[in-house]
Amino acid sequence: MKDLADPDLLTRAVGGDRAAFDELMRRHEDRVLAICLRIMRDRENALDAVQETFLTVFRKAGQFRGDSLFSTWLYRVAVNTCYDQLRRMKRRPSDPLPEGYEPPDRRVDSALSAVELRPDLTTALAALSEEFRTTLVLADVEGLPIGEVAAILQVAEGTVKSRLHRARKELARILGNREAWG
Amino acid sequence: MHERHDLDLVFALAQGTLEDPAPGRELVDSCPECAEYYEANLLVLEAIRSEPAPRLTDLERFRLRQAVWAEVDSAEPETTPEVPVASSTPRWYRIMGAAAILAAFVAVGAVLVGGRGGETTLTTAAREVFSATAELQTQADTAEPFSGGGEDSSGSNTTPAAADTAMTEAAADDGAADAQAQSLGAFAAADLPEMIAQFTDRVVSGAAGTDSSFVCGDRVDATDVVATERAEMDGVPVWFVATGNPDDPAVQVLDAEDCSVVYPTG
Repeated sequence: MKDLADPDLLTRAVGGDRAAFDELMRRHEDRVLAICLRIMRDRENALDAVQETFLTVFRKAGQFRGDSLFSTWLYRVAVNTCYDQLRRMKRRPSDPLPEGYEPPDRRVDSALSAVELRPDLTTALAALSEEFRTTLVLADVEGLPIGEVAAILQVAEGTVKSRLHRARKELARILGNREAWG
Repeated sequence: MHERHDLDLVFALAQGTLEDPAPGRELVDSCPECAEYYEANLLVLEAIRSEPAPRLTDLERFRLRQAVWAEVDSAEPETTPEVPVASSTPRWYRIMGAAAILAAFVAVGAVLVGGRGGETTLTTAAREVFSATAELQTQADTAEPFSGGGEDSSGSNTTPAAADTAMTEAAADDGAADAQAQSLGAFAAADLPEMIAQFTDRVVSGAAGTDSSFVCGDRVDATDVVATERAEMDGVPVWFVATGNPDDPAVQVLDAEDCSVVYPTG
């Protein structure tokens, strides 16, 4: 089973082979969790989203045509599931930074040397807009190619690049509490 | 930053993936805004690299599979494929939240009644409600095995913490009697993941305690044990052992006869 490619496993799963789908889950569940956790910011909600993602994929497995990578399709389902859940919760996508958060010492010349004073990545990501956060998570945190990110989000590659540049500047501003980024 | 500047080049320079970094360095050196963008990228990449990738715990993996297949099995193939199912079953913490509110109402009412001379009214009424709470939890755990805790995503004011408090109070009130009523008992090996989930929930809620007859302390970090419970798996006596943080315990299952580890395997 471990030697089979994702599409072959999916084909078997459609035919009722649960072990094949278990193997697909084993291969991708950590990454789906990572994506959902960065988007949802709450582990329990992210776990719910992971569960719903795999249920959706299982139920719609017969619709997968193989035009894209299985992972692209899976991550698209995951992102959409997270968005749906966020909408259902009617929660504001970006919470402000924690009340007790103190900005880094402005006397520190290099932003890199102020690393211990920064908010962690998760907190900083939470301050980004939903679309910036998702784009940056997929491309920079998960390391997916621009083309795959574009396919997952169903936007043009140029849009992904534009969002990425702006998201990186915004995230850096939050991480370093820098005001220079326009 | 000027549009003609190659932002991808600047990012690749920050990533350190350029075979020939000279053009990138030249761009950064000649363009202050590019240099700022370069620094921003360094900051972002460093933050990303310093944070480990999230992973599912073994228990979460168990629960994920169990929940997925339970949902698949419970669905009607002709009618449910397009229905989002994660919200179709009640989350245990929502049920627990409702139970906690009910418990609070009855407890307050009982105090008021008790204040007029009926001390036993509080104990009796509260026990009835807390007993119902425990029953609801058992039902909810069966219905929603994957949702092992966390916040109420519906935005209700009733939090899992409130539910946990109710359970803790119930356990404190009734002590060993409650623990006995909620013990894991006998079960089939196929139900081990569910039993672990139940045990974990009970540890987190404060309903599980330590059993003084536990003798396998040398197989776990005895100073770190937060709860132990006897059970019987396929007729074989076993110990459920929770260690570490009571809010997020690690669970082991040991063979009670030779203290060998049954779970986790591998």
